[in-house]
Amino acid sequence: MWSLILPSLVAGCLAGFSGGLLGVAALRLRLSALGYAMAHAAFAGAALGLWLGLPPLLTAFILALAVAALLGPISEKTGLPVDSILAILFPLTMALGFLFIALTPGLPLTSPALTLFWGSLLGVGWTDVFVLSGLALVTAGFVAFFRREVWASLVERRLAEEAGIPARWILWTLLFLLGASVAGSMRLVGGLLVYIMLFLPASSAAQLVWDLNRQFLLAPVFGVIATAGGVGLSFWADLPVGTAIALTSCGLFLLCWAISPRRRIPSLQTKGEDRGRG
Amino acid sequence: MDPVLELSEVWAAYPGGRGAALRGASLRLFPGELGLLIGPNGAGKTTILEVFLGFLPYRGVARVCGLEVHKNPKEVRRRLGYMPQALFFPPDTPCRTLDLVMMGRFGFYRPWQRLPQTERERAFSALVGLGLAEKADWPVGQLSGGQQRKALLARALVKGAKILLLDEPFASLDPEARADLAQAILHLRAQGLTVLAVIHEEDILSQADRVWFVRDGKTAELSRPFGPLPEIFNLCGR
Repeated sequence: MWSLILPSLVAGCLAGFSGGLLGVAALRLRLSALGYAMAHAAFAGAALGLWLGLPPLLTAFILALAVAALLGPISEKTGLPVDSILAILFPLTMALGFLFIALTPGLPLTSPALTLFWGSLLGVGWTDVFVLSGLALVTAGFVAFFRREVWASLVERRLAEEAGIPARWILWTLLFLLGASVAGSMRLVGGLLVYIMLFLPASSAAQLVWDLNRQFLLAPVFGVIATAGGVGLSFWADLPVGTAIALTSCGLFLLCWAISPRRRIPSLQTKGEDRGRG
Repeated sequence: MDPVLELSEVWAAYPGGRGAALRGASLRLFPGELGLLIGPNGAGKTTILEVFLGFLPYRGVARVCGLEVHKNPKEVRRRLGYMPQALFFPPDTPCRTLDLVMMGRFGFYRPWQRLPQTERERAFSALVGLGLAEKADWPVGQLSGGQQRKALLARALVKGAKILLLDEPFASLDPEARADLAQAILHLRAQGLTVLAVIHEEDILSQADRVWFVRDGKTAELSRPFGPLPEIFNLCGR
């Protein structure tokens, strides 16, 4: 049993960790459309891989990362907000995905490209664990090493730039890591539900702690708890893994909301708590 | 004496924008002076500040303390304190007042360097100087509009910059908060700081050393006496 569930469990914990960490940034940047756009870019990439006879996960990664890497520069060049560009990329990548599937002769419904849509508990292997370990390490290292710069860029980009912080590069790197996190988590959770891993752990953390640094500490823990719980629930109750992770994540969020002492905004009476940064 | 802020025939445009926002703008502001930019909305006043900050590419000459902006953006930004336009923090902004002020010092340290305690003290002193000491630990989004503007001014000051760029510092403030902030700005000028501000109000107009009317991306320096504003707008053509 453990040989069956262990890769999914470890992969889920790693994906939950990275997703939680990056979700704090995504939440602060209000990039709710990002999860959808990345997921569909990865889906289009997987379909492209099948059509061209290349490994679908590799092409899914490349397309999701390309979208993530291009978001910042396109926004900068065109003057369009990132959310508007995502709104354009979302249907485009979806259409491309369907086009590639239509072009691939005799594609069965159980094909890897289609499981990327709703996730698979058994489709996760140690290769995924290896990739997600690297991603978790890079993400945690980046956020920890550039903690001041990340904090300032997320609070107010213009002020950060004026203070001499390369906020543009910090935000582009976060976007890129977000894309990688989405692509890396797709095999387990599926494209339709992958954004849950980005937004729900971070939203849950924001119910309990207001300070951005504390959110960065708590959200990955919630990500791991929700994903590990979801993988366990999926195995125990024979549910689709993406659905199970969505259920545990929502449950955790509701619990945090219910016990949230301040409903996100600290009251003036508790202003002395958590004195700043250093 | 050399100007500390200088624009000469500067043309600039926003990426994706329609046409140039500045069309040959020129100005010279000298140490310890208070300079004001007035004019209709969309005339290019904020763009002038953004050119000095190196936020926008430009053609022409833009110098801060003799340094060409696009060649030395980092050195130039260290010399400037900046209060952005219409920046009001929503209540859930995850930032305390003291942290916001300390942000002004982040650029002086490498990512691996820890901020010393003296930086916290310096930030706190700036808040004390502007009468915000008791708000240091408050979430910045829970300060009033005037207090938020003062916190941003404190942030600009802790950089140790001798030049302040203030973009509509009095916007959305009640008369009492405006008078309070105007006093603070004039006090800073009296201490030898150079201030270039975009304004839409009379508050510090009569106290200015130089005033430019900005329209269609061009600047025209006005002669004394400055004001009242409606008269200037009538004269310069609304």
